[in-house]
Amino acid sequence: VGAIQRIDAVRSLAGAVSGDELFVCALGGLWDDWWNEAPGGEPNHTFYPSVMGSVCSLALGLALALPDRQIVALEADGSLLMGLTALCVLGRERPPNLVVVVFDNAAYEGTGGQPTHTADSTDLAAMAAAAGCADPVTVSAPDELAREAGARLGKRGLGFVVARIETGAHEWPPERRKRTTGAEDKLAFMRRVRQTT
Amino acid sequence: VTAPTAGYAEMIVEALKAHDVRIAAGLPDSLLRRLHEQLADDPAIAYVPVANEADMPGIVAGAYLGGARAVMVMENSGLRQACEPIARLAFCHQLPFVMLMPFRGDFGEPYWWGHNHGQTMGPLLDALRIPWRVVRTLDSLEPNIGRALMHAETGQWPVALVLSGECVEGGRYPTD
Repeated sequence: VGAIQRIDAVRSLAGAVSGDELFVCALGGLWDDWWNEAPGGEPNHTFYPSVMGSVCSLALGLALALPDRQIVALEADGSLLMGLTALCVLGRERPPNLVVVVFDNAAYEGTGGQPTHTADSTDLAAMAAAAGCADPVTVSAPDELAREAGARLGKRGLGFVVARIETGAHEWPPERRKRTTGAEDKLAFMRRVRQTT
Repeated sequence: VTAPTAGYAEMIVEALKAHDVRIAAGLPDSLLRRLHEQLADDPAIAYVPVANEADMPGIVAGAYLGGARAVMVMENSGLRQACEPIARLAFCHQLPFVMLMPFRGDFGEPYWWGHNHGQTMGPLLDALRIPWRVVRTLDSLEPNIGRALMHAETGQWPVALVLSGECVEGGRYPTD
């Protein structure tokens, strides 16, 4: 496990993107962190899927549908582990306009911090490389995350960055927590796509 | 193998293209063998092979969010594999997508292992509140593909088109 707090990693990524990208954000504590820290404030440039294991496939569908837009997936270790075959699909399709950033805290934090398989033997960047995702990288410092993610933006090829982070969540007051529903998120996101594409 | 069913695959591909379907996520099965092959060969449709049907709902839902029509093509056993993402994307987000699947286990099923596919398909689709229709004849293929896409998008919910009879390989299932 690395030395970054998740909130610092999220802020680091938020500083590396322009805000013109379209984002898909894995469920869990990431939702509230990104809801508050994403560029633009309460942004509708992000779809928040209420399902584990489908973040990469959703981002792939978006990337294929919108080849002129940069797509960024904020993935989590538990979600990616649930749908590992998506790595093989990503590795074959290699959409040049998709960057996947995995926030890997090696734990199911929302259910009490039980270890995921990355706590023991699983190396997600190595698995991504073996599946054909070119040049994956693992980072463990905020500036490193911003640098490596930023270098992969600009539709330069499929990017895959694993950020090893600490367990532990930023405490957001109730009024700062993401408050929209999944149906609202869909409509707002689609409106954003129409208005900016 | 009795009645030849050549042509069903071309008809489906042409209907998908006529209805502006740009992406097809697929996992091959023997009853739709030539459909998968022709989708993979057709440059007008991006065929995305997956290794697990559970990866398909995300791909087609993402495509819909991005403004592109997409379909899933899988054996009806894949429905069981993909239930969780289908349920979450439908019930939580009201995301529409069309699933094409053969009716493995339909009346006259020649394989013992295929019966459970058919026995569980209808109850699962009903539990997921997914409208579904069985299409058995070539002349009803194109209109029902159009209806399936329309129904999914106006209903903002998944739809399943179940293929049998003349619309799958082998000619073993009823056409009426």
